Amino acid sequence: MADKYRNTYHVAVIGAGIGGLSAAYTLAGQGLNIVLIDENPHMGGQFLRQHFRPESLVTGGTAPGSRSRLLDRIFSDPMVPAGTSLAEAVSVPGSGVDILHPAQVLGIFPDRRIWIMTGPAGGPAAGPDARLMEIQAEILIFATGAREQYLPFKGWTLPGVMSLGAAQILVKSHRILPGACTAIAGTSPLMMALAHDLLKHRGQVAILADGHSLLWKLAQLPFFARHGSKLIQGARYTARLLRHRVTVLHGHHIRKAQGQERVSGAVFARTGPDGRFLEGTDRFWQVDSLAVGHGFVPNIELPVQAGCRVIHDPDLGGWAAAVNADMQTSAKGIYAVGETAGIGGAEQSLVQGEIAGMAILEQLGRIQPRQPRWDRFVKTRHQLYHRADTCRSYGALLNRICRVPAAAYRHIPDDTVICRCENITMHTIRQAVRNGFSSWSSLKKATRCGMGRCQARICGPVIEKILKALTGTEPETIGPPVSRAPVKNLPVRLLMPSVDNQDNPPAQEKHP
Amino acid sequence: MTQQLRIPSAARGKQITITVNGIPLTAYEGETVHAALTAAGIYPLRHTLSDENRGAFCGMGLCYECLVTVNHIPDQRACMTVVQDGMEIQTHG
Repeated sequence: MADKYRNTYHVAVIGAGIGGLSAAYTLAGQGLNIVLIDENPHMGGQFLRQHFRPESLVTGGTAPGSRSRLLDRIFSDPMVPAGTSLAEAVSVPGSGVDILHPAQVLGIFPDRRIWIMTGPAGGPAAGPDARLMEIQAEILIFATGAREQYLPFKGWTLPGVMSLGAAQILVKSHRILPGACTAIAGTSPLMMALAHDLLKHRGQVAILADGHSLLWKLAQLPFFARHGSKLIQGARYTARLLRHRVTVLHGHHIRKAQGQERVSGAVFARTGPDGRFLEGTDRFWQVDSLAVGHGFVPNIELPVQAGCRVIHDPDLGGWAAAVNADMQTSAKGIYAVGETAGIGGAEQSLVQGEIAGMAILEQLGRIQPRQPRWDRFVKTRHQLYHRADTCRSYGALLNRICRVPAAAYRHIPDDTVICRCENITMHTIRQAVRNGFSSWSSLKKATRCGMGRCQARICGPVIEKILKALTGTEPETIGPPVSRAPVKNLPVRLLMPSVDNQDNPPAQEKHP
Repeated sequence: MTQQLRIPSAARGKQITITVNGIPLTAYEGETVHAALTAAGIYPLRHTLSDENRGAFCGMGLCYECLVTVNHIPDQRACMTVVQDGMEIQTHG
């Protein structure tokens, strides 16, 4: 499969979500060679999942809307058709865009050389047919998206406890319920979206526990004045919850998940201003699945590796790639768009992708001041800058709404697992910090936290907040997460093909 | 399994059969291994060194909690692997 791709491209876009698609679309048809790389078997990123459902992959087209009702059409997010048409447009032969997926970018080396693991189309990227390849690009755009973050609780490692995103993928992409009876907890606006989707498909939502008090939430409403469509969306979700009489607990966090083989129940409790659970406020629900999330963090492993400067700002969701108004990073020839440069949602990704695309067209001389289309180009660009500002203010609001009180991280119970990969508990981390291991690197050496398979993607943002809560040290002082190639797991046999072929035949051949 | 987790009215890909720990299981083209196993009510996918059960958590290829053996290749992410007819899945490898 690697053979149909070039070794060098004018532009490489990493991530085919809304941001990456938007950038690729802006650059397409201008005589540039562009490669769009994504680790998922479909395009569209996390946002467009429901519109690239399996049957659409099978038939090769976009899935027809499932009996879209009038209300759905009126209230539907305008970003969905926008993103879908971008995906269609860049897929057209002759667009100049080579689409490489599923393909895992493992690292970025000097001069924008991209180290990639590819697999057979539709298969696992790390499977038996996996291959390594390298692409060099004149310009590199990171559109690596975001992941969720969490406030750990006892039992969050039980099977059946999952991220809000995982539950949404099941419902939206696969039309499979995450369980027969689901609890939803956290501080993220995704909670409402998930509850809505589950109820719409006759799933059962036992309880929705929102960490924020109702009063606090109402106090945020005026800030939404500039973002009316989000208010309408929220009202629609709320109406669905009311109609189905779902129990909503405000000011409650999940205290523990219970179960033997898998989750069978969950306890929720009120927390005081200091982040401690208030005794006597425990409430138990019997559930077979639990979806949790406390906001989002940008995926910056690759930008960090490429030498892009990153900044820490809670309004951006934590560490994010630092960019100028044209989405250019501090590294030569490298841009970052969408969540990579700060959490802000689908519209921000769309706008920033276009801004980066236009800046690159200018940089590569594809558009010049004396051309007839220059005036329109400049005008469009100014409109986009303005839209980007509005999106940024929504992003800041979104991140504020997800935020968990800092004190909550100080009082995580000792027996709670923090690093899921290495099974490191809060007790171990607290002890290590007490003994002076209070930097990221020393804490890793002392406890192995953050050194497992996920490479601190899940526990990293948590540990950063624990360190701040326990020692008062700001993330800026602790420094951004370290990132080295390969950023994701790969089979050793790919690095040592000779061994693979001779002494150690692949496991597959041992079991014909 | 007591309840049907696949939403009945939804359109799906072609019906196929995979095996999970030797037992045949119906799945649909385009589904991930994670989705097919969830639909069958199979949540624990692996155990840790201390013998705790773990299952899919992030669902998008980041956390490596959902590792299963696919066609005798160990440590494949169930959430990033698309099912194919005749695929053999082993949990708790």
